[in-house]
Amino acid sequence: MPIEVRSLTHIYHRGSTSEAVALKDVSFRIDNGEFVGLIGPTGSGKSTLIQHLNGLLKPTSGEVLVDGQNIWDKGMSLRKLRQRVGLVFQYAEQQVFEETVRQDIAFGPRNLGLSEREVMERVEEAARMVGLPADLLDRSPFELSGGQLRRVAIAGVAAMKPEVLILDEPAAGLDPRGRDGILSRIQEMHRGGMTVILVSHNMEDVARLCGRLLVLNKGELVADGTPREVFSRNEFVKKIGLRAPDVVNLMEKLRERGWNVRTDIVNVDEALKEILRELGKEAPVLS
Amino acid sequence: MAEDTGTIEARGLYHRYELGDKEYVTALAGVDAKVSRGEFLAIIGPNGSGKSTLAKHFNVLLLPESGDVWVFGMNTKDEKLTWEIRRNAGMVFQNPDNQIVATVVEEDVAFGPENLGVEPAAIRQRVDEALTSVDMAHMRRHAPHLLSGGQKQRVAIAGVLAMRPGCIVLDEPTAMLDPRGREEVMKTVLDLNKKHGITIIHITHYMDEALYADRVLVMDQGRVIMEGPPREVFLEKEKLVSLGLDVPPLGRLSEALGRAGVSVRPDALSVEELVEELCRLKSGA
Ligand SMILES: Nc1ncnc2c1ncn2[C@@H]1O[C@H](COP(=O)(O)OP(=O)(O)OP(=O)(O)O)[C@@H](O)[C@H]1O
Ligand SMILES: Nc1ncnc2c1ncn2[C@@H]1O[C@H](COP(=O)(O)OP(=O)(O)O)[C@@H](O)[C@H]1O
Ligand SMILES: [Mg+2]
Ligand SMILES: [Mg+2]
Repeated sequence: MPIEVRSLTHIYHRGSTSEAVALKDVSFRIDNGEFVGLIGPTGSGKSTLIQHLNGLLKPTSGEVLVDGQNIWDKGMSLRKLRQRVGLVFQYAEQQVFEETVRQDIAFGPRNLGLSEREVMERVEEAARMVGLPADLLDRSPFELSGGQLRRVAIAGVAAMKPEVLILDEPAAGLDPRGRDGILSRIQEMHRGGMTVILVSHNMEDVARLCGRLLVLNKGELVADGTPREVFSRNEFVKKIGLRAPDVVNLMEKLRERGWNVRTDIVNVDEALKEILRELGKEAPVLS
Repeated sequence: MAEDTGTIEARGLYHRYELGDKEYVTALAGVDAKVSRGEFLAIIGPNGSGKSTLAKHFNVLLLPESGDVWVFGMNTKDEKLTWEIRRNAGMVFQNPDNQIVATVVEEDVAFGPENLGVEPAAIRQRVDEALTSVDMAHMRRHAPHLLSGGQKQRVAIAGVLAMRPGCIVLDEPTAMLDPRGREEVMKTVLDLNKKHGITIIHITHYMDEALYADRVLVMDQGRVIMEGPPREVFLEKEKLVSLGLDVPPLGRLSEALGRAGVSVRPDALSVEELVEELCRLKSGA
């Protein structure tokens, strides 16, 4: 289910004194099975953009096409669209509202016309996937810690098994194991054929996971390329208020000190190789 | 017991949340922790380990079920002292969007002292000082909702500062921020600690932020299970990983270098430290 955005502009509170242009003439296309990272400083329009992809916001101008169809055309069902394009919000507390965690995760799948047994299977599968201990399922979502609540929000969307999964900072507030866990599960879902769009401020994560990065700044799409292409433009990355992964900054500083190392690297393994080469050592055989 | 008026302290602190019908979750299972005046303490720990519950005890948002909490010599169980303690130990939370009450930055910062009944002229001065300390004086007349996440958090910090606290407790203040916002907030907090001697208690899941602290406290299942200077705590990588925590990102590289026979100091965990280490090794080689 390819998604295409054409000349999308979004203006909040148009005509009033608090008018805000959140997106300016943004165009791109995302094909089936891509894993796309959406990055940009706060206020750059990331959350506004993804809410257009499942019809929560309507373009001020421009269009959003899913499967080649404008989602705002007559006869298109937004409800169906939202089952196929699942969105996990930035603030988990805005997404949970049922009495128990179980009911909350069940809310989406229940609307898919599944049997109660299938719904419960999905709930338990999703809870396992996000690392929610089973004994939390019968608690009220309001009796959870911040990180536990975020897992509930992700489980609720994952339980619907959407074709396109969009996550707005899913790992914010998760402990390192939770973060790695959620991201590996997302990676698995991607390998299973899901298209994934990940909004993140964690440059290490997007560099590692995404095949392609879309970079927003002040409502405009300012870069679209592989993590290597984007992060090797470190000056530009810094200028718009982002920060390349630490290993990139390390390579850059080493170069300033006269090391002959590449700076277009994106992960620890590549950094290791560069440093060892420069020190005249062999890289160990990777297990 | 005469308590130290310079410290914040929890002793034998025990807290359960009631889930209705005589069911309870134990969130703090006997915590002893002490923070000296002027200290920068980082608290790390897996989700649900009790960090926020502990933080809320320092601000009297929660009271001990058993055990005691003293804030600068004041026991939080003493109801007469509740407001004085809250003024002295201000809190900043994760979500930058729901901590700001006013429609203009300076009014938001004035809100606390106004509630305390501070004189208008003195309020003005406090607001000026607070906004200057967080480097937001130039945006005093801006609308908070139009600021970046890092700017909003700095306004929230200014709001706390205007109460002239001895301590600021920050519960994941950077979790929602972009890299620049995180840097701004950490720089601000470090500055308040080093230049103004304000005690900082900083809760975070970003291991590299704990490197700014004088001391790190590691929580698990309602207990403090490790503590020490960050570079010592992060040497225990295996233990941290088994708890669901980690070392800062470059710790992985240091470790890999070590395995490849490049003996960088294992506690070189920031870009700058690692650059120095590598240059030292290269020139020695
Ligand atoms: N309002 C509440 N009612 C019932 N239980 C709660 C409540 N708040 C927290 N808990 C429980 O208390 C324990 C400690 O929670 P706390 O919020 O202190 O953890 P935390 O270390 O701050 O976690 P996180 O990193 O996810 O923010 C957890 O088991 C949590 O589920
Ligand atoms: N509900 C809203 N009403 C008015 N303005 C908004 C609203 N949501 C976002 N904005 C504005 O739109 C711009 C983009 O915001 P947002 O999409 O939230 O960015 P990001 O997710 O990249 O931080 C910002 O200028 C923001 O202030
Ligand atoms: Mg956003
Ligand atoms: Mg918490």
